[in-house]
Amino acid sequence: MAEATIPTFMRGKEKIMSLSDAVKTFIKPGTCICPGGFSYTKKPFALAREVIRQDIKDLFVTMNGGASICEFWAAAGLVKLLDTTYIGLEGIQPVAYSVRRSIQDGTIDVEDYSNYGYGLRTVAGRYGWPFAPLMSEFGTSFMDHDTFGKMGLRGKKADGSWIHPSIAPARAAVIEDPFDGWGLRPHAFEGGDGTSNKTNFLEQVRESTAYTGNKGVKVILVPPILPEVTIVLAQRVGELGTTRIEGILGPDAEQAISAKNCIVQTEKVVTEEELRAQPYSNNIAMQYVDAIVEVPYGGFPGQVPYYYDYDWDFWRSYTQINRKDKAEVNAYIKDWVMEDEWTFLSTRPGDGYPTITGTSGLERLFELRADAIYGYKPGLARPL
Amino acid sequence: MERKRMRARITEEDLRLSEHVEPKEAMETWQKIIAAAWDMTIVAVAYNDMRVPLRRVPETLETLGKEVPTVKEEKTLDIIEEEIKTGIRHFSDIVEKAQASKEEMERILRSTWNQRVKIKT
Amino acid sequence: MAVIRATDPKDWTHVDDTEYEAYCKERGIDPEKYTTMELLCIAAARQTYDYSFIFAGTGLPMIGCMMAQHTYAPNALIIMEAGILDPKLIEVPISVSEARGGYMCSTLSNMADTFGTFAQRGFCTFGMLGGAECDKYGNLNSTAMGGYYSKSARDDGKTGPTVRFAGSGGANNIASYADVGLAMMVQEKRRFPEVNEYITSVTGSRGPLGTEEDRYHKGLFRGAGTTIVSDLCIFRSSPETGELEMAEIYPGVDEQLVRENVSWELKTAKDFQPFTTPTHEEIKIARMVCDPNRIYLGRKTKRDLAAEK
Repeated sequence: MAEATIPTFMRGKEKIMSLSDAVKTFIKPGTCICPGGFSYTKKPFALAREVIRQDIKDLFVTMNGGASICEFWAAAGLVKLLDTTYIGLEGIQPVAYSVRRSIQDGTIDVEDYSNYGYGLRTVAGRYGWPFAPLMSEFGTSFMDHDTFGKMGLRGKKADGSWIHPSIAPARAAVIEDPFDGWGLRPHAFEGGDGTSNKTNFLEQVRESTAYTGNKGVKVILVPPILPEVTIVLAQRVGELGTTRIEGILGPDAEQAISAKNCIVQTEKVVTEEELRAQPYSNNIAMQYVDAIVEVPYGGFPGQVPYYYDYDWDFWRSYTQINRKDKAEVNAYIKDWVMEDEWTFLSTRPGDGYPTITGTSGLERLFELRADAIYGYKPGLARPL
Repeated sequence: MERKRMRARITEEDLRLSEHVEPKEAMETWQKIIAAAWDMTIVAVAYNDMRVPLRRVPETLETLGKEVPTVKEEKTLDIIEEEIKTGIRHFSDIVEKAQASKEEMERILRSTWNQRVKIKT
Repeated sequence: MAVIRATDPKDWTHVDDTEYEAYCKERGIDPEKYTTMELLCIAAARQTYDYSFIFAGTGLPMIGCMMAQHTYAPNALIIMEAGILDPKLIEVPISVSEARGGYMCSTLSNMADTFGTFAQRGFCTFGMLGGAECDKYGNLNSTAMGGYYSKSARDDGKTGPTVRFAGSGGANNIASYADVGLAMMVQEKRRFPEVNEYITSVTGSRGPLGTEEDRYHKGLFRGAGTTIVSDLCIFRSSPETGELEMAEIYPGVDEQLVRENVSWELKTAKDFQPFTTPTHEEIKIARMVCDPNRIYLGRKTKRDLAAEK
């Protein structure tokens, strides 16, 4: 029998790395990277900051679920391509200003999907499907705009290899439903439809000749996402990579599993035994995790459900900072991340923006501790 | 005897369904047994998930306890106090409810023993 | 006014009057007079009804759906796209993913799952959205103005769009699957063009009903109309043509002002009626229960700022 070689994704405890090593090993200039989390929740900010420290440029960012990490990267001038659904900071800033400015001034090229369209792409990526079926985006401008196509990034080179390994040969495709809309609800069940929707226009849709020229129910097919690296924040990770996410999952599990490599930033590395006592609560199987980085409070200034809340005061001030001159914002963000994460966490929280208590560093971080029952800090002061 | 029976071939007689039998216990009795058994199971399953971290908590607390005499800032002591107070709040709730449950369980054990004696005599 | 579910730990809608007065005094706001944002939030909540499914997008819909839960639709199920179904909103969330929006919800899953399990499967009565631009047939643009393409994909020599907005997020999907699109917007003429240059979300009929340009002929199998709640009036789509018409007008707003602030010849709906002035109770709930920090309610429109001057 041939001697067994241990595949890299089964390397066990070797996966536990320092923040700088994990970033150095997996993220290179031009890497197609997918940041996990959603807006302010469970965003792997420590990894994002390390990317800024190492100044890794020309990133191809593919993401949905809010632009907070992309905002920092765009401010640091690291993003070249963006495959996304939403570039806002939700309730704090409707459009993330650095991302917006970079798209307007030509530094970032962007391709747009809807959230469900992108979500289905992550599902297709997770399950290894060639595509997934989408029933919205019909009748919109998504259907006739394709940035990467116009840039010539889709398809194959003369030698038969993909022009870009993380860009599908088409943005989307439309087919006629071979099942004639049979699976769609409201549906003609005897005695009710099993939905709350009262509108059903399938008959009109069957008459439509849009997109294909033939009559019939249409379905949009979207390609999977195939990022090179996904970065994810999880509250706990076992020492071999078993990952448990508490609170909202967002797009994390699908994106992590879709990627070639996955780096998990965690609040605490624990024994596998601890998480395997209840395996049905775990979200990412061990072989999909390639690097584990333990950074308690590494989700600051975001929120990690049940551990700590977001730093409202930081974001409130940041939206003022990111509207300054581009060079000034760039200098600010590079200065803000400091030389390493521990120095950052003991200096920057509460630093350079007004807070009610005026505390800074770890003291500020402990002020943001969440209530274990609510998942957030009830009564957190959120002045506008 | 039982083992021997289970090793034997299954006969047609074994497969015959029985006639209606009057239950020996009241339905309410079974319902109460099930209710208690299920509730203890729900907690046991949840406990299984915290078994390892709970085992770890005394160790990490001991380590923290040894660190306290080296603390320099009063504000740091405030933070430690705050965290420990929160911990005490949650843990005393757990202890209190667990203690009450355990007492009830012991009462039931005594009661079953009494009932057993009563049935026998 | 309906009270929140009896099973809930506390009666959320009860607000002590002295407490309210003290709050208003501290903030320097008139206890009786509503602001533009409060009006928007109350008007949006009034469009909903109990036992419906409200799929709320980010931004103003966060406060809109919370207001609905605490007033007109206490038993409505709120859906938020990051994976939330039926939360109990105690503090207003600033994101569709944050823990404030996930408290005591029925299930907490992932994004693809929310759209699939709830919206695609047919549990979406109201699609509550915000938008940057809205046209005559209720199409929203939340993507870009001045050409969509970024530099490398453009032919006109410009470096990118004139104004880039946030993009669809879940708005496109919410609008596609909802029975009724319900958008909350600030009304300005440039934000209400006759035809949007970019369509992000089809909340209404998309084009004239019954033509090749309507939503059904493009492949959308649900949706019967739209309600746009602006800071001047409420628009509803005509069931015959799909065109947006003025359906309700706020107290003290001149019809002419509404017409001046859209780019097409605005018709008045057959069942046009004046909007009932927000009640003291509604204003109190909006302020004290939903958003005491005034994260959303404290915002001001351009018209507000001009009026202050």
